[in-house]
Amino acid sequence: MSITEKQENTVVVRPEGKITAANADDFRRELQELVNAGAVNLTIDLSSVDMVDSKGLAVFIVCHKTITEKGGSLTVITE
Amino acid sequence: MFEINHNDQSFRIKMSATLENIDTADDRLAEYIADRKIPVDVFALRIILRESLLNAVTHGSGVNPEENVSFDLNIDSSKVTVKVSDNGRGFNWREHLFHDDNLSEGGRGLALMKIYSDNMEFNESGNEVTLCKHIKVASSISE
Repeated sequence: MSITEKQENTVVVRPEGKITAANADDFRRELQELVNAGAVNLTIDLSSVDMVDSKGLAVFIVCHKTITEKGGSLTVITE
Repeated sequence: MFEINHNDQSFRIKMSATLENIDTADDRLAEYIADRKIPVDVFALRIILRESLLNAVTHGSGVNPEENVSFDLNIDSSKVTVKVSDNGRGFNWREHLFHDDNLSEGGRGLALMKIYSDNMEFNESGNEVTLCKHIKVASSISE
């Protein structure tokens, strides 16, 4: 679902299509695995995403909480 | 199950309560609005469809494919009216209308429906919601 790039201590994730209830759990697991693997600063680039619903927004919130608790940061790019 | 019927004034879906069917319903509604060039905020209608069906599929039907949910859209000269219903017991919608915790994981669905519609009303039990979105007037269509 996502293209992932590592740039120094930042991991950039570029999901495509939709982040909605049908696939939000998969995306959440994907992000959690990156955080568990040591990603400190995570960037989610939404330029190739055309729809995010409330379940998709919840993934961003959970990821933000998890990564900031570890001293990192989450950046979401919307354009 | 996914059944769809539409004409120039109405667009109706009856579907099994699955998350994948919500994506299909959204795609088909976007096609319907584009094909008929209906002067309405398409993104707002898509959010209304997604969040209302998500409530019906998850909270009303437990994401049980044996359960069915309905989405009815009607168009008149001034507005688009959407009615979404399920066979569940409903819920106390009054307790969930206002979302004031920006960092909570859930609870945004009703807030999004309220923001993107011009009017939103539940039936008493909470298993049917009716939302309206005004048609854009001619002067704003070209904007």
